[in-house]
Amino acid sequence: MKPPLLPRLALALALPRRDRRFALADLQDELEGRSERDGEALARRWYRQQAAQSLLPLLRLKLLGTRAGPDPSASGGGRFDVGEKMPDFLSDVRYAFRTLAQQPLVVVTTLLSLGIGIAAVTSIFTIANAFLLRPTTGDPEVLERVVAVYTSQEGGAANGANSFPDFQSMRDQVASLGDDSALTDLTTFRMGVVRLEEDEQIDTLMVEITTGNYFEVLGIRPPLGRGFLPEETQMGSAEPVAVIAYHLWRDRFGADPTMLGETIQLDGVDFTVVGVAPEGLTGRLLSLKIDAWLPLGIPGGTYHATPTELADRDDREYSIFGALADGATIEQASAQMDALAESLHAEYNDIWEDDLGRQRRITVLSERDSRVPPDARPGLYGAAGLMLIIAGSILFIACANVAGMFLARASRRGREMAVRLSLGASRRRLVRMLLTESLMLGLASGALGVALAHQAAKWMGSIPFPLGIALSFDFSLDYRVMLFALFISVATSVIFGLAPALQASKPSLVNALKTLTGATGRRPGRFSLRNLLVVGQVAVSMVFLVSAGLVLRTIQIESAADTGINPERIASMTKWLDEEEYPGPAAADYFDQIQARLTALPEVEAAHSSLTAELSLLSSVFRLQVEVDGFAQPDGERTMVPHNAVTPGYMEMLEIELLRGRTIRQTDTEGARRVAVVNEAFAERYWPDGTAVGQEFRVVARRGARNRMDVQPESIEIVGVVANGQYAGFEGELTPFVWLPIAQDYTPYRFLHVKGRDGYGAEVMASLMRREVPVARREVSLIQPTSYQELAGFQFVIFGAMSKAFGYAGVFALLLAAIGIYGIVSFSVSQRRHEMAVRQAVGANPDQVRNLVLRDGMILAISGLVIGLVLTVPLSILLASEIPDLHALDPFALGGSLAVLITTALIASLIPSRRLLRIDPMDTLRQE
Amino acid sequence: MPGKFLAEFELYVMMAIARLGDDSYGATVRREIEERTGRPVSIGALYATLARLGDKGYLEFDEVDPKPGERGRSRKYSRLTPEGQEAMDHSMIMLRRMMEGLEPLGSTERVR
Repeated sequence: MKPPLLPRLALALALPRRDRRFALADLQDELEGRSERDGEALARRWYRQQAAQSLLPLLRLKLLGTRAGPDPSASGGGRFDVGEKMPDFLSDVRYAFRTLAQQPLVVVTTLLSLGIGIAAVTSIFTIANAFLLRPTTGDPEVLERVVAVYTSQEGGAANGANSFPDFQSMRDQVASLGDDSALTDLTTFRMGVVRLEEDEQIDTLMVEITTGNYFEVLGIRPPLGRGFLPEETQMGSAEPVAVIAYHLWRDRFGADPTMLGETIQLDGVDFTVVGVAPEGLTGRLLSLKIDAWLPLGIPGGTYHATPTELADRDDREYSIFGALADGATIEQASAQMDALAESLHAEYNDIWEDDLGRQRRITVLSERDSRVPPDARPGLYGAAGLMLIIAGSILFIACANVAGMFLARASRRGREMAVRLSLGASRRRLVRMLLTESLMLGLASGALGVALAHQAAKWMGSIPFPLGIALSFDFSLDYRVMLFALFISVATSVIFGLAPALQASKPSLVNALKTLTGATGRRPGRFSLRNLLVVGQVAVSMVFLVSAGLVLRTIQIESAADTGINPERIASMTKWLDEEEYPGPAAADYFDQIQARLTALPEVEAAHSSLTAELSLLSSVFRLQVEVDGFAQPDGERTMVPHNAVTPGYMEMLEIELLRGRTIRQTDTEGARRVAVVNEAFAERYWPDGTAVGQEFRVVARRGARNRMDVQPESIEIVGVVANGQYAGFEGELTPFVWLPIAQDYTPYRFLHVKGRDGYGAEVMASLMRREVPVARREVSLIQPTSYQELAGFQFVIFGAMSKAFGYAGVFALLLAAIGIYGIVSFSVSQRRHEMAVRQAVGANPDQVRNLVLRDGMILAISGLVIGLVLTVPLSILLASEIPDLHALDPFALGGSLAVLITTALIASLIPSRRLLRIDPMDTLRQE
Repeated sequence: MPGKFLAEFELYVMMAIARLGDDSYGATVRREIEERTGRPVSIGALYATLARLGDKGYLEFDEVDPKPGERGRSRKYSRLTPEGQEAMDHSMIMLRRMMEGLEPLGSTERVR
C-alpha cells in the first residue's frame, strides 16, 4: 500500500539525505505489516503520527547537528535528558535581553517600525478573513449543501436579487418536481431598517426579513430560544415575532435571559422576542452586522416587505438560499433553474427581460462562492489589492529599516564576533545567537502589531456610513488572524535578522581584529545592501506622499468646484410613509400638512419635500428613460436620466441657477399640463441650438428603488433650463438631470427639507425637525434629520478615507526613510572619524569635511527620489483612470512631496554630520 | 567522564541493537523499544539518535541496498563498536549499582 502523500513528503524533506531511503523503507515495512493486521485506515493514521512526531527531532538534527545532545522528545517523556540544548537556548535569550536592554533606541525603533508594518498587513488580512475565510455561522454539514440563487439584473450582471413572486415560482417548481428536484428547500429574505423604541431611546436596527424556514435552511440553531415556527410565519398571517442578534441582546438588553417572550417595539409595532441568534451570525451580504430577524408575511408588512412589494414580480429585493437535495449537484440545480427562467420569460416576457431586452437568467452558486459573488469581485479585489500594496509596502520599508539598523549594529559588533570566533565559537552558534535576538524583537513587534490591528479593526468596524445608516462589518480578530500575524512576525524576523547575522558572523578575523586597534576599515561601497535599502525607502515614501497629495488635491479642487446648489442653513431627513396606511393622495396631504406646519415656525424660511436630494448618495437612484421625437438614439443605447420630483420653491431654496424659462410652480398640479425643468446638459443633448424651452419629451420607462409610479404616455413640456451642477453626485457636472413637479408625480417616499432664517443654521433646523416632525404610523425612517451639507458630503467620504490612508502611509514611510538616512550618515560618520581627523589635521576646514559626509546622505536621498518619481508617474496615471477628476501629475502634489522629502533627508543627514564638527583631530588621532 | 554517560533513550537504542544482533535496523530497533517500554517511538527520533551515537563513535552502520531487479528494501544495519559496548556496559553497571536494594514500589502498569 502507498503511504499518505503529505506526511511522506514532509518526512522526506526533514530526514538527512544519508538516512532518507532507510528510514522511509523502515516505515514502509511496518506500514504494510500494520495494514494487514489493523486495516489500511489505522495504518495510515499510524504513519501520519510517525511523521508528525518525527519532524521535531529531525529538524533539531538538521539545524543543530548531532552534537546538540539527545532530543528531549526522543523518548516520549524523557527526564534524564532535558539536554544541554535548553540551557543554550535560554542563554541565547538571556544574552539577547542583555544586549537589547543596552540599546533601547534600537528596540523602540524596531518595535514601532515592525509593529506598524505588521499591523498594516494584519488589518488587511482581517478584512479578507471577515469576507472570505471565516466560516459562515451555522452547521457546517448543512452549509455544505446550501446554495444561493440570483436573478440577472439590468445591464446583464448575473448576481442580482430576486422578486418575491419569482421566489414563490421557484418554490412551486421544487414542490412539483418532488424527489426529482435538485433542490429541497428554499428560503428568502430582504434587508431592512427599522426603528427600535425602548425606554425613550431610539435605535436604527438593520434587520433581515425572512421566510419561516430561514434558520433551518441555513443550519442555524439559536442558542437561546428558537427560530421561527411554521405556524407563526404563514404568509399574510404571520405573527410579529423576532429573533434578535446576540450583540443586541448583550449590549442593548444586558444579556437578560428573561428576554424571551418579552416584546420590543419596532417601527411602532410590538414584536415578541422568541430567540437570540448565535454570537457572530452576520448578514449574508458582505458580513454586514444584522441586529434582528423578522418574518415575512406579517399583515400590512414590515419595512418595505409589504403585500404590494411581495406581489410585485418586477421588484427585485430578495436574496434566496436553498438546500441541495442529497446527491444533487450545483450544475443540476442550475439546469433546473434555467428551465424555470425560460418558462417565467414565456409567461411574463417583458418583466423577465433586462433593459437590453435579453431574457433574465437564474444563477446558482455555492454558499462559499456567494459570500463574494462573482459580480462583486472585481471591485472588492481591486480595493483589497490597493490596500494590500499599501500595507505590504509599509511592512517592506519597516523591514528594510530594521535590517539597515541591524546591519549597522552588525558591523559595530564585528569585533565582538571576531573575538567570539577566535575563541572557538562556531559560526552556526553565532548566527543562532543573533537570530534569537531578531526573533525576540519580531515576536514582540508581532504582539504590538496585533494589538494595533485590533484597534484598527474596531475602528474599521465602526466607520460611520454616510447618511446615518447603521451599516457595520464584523472585523473581529480570530485565531486565523493570530496565526497569520505570528507567521508574518517570524518571517519578518528572519528577513531582517538573517542577512545581518550572516554578515556579522563572517568577519575576516584579521581585518576585524585590526580595527580593534582603531585602524580604519574599508569604506563601504556605494551599492552596499544598506544603501539600497535606504534608497528603496525614500522611493516608496515618495510614491505614498505623491499619492496622498494627489487625492488631497482632488478633494480640494472638487469641493471648491461649483456644485450648483447652496446647502447653507438646510436640514433634511427622509420620511417614507407606509403605502397601505397612506394610499395615494393621503400621503400628499400628509406631507402638505407637515410642510405648512414647519413653514409657520418663526425660525423657518422655507420647508419643502422632494423625491430625492441632489448631490446625496440617493441623487442618481431615480431615473427616467427619455425619448424625444426626431432624436435618433444611438443603437441599443437607452438613456436613463436621473431625476428629482420637487415642491414649488424647492429649486429656489437650493439656489439652483435658472438660465431660461421658469421653475416648478404652484399651478403645476395633478390635472394640469405635465411639465419639467431640465439642466443645460439635458437641453444641449437634445436641442444643441438652445431652443429647449417649450420642447417636449416622453418618459417610456422609469427606474428607482421605491418608485413604482405608472409610466404615463403623455408628453412632458420643458418649461425651464437651469445651470449644470453636481446634481447626480459622482456622475459629474455634465450628467443630464430632470426636475418634475412632485404634485404630478405622487410618491409616499420623500425627503423633507427645512431652511432656517438668517442666524439659524442647519444644526438648529435638524433639532427643530426632530422636535416638530411627527412619526407616522408604520413609517420607515432611513435618514434622521441631518444637515444637507452632510448629506451632500458623502462623495468625499471615500476620497477622504483614501487620502488618509495614503497620508498616514506617506508620513510613516517618510519617518522610516528619515531614520534610515540618519542611520547611514551616523554610520558613515563613525566609520570615517579617523579619515576626517586626518583631513582636518592636514588643513581641510570642518565645513568641507562635513559636506563630504552630507553628500553621502543626499546621494542616497536623491537616488530614492528619482526612482520614486519614475514609479509615481504610472501610478498616478492609473489612479487618475480609476478616479474621475483626479489630476494626474498635479504640480502641487509632486512639488510638495519633493520639497518635504528633500528637507527631511537634509535634516536627517545634518544632525549626525554635526558630530564631525566636534571632533578634535588631535584627540582622535592620538586614540590609536 | 561525561562522554561515557548515555542518555536514557540512547541507552535504550544501544540495548535494542545489542539484543537484536544481526537483525538490527531502523524498523526492528524502533519496534523493539516500543514493545519493551510501551512508549511510542518516532522514526525521526530514532534516526537522530542513531546519527548522534554514530558521531560519538559508539555505532557502526552497514548500508544494504537491494541490487537492481532484486526484491527487498534498503536497510541500514547497526552494530555496537567496542567503544559503544564499553559505554553501554558502563551505563548498565552504573544503573545496576544505583538500583541495588531498590524495588519498584509504585504502579508498574505503565511499563507493562
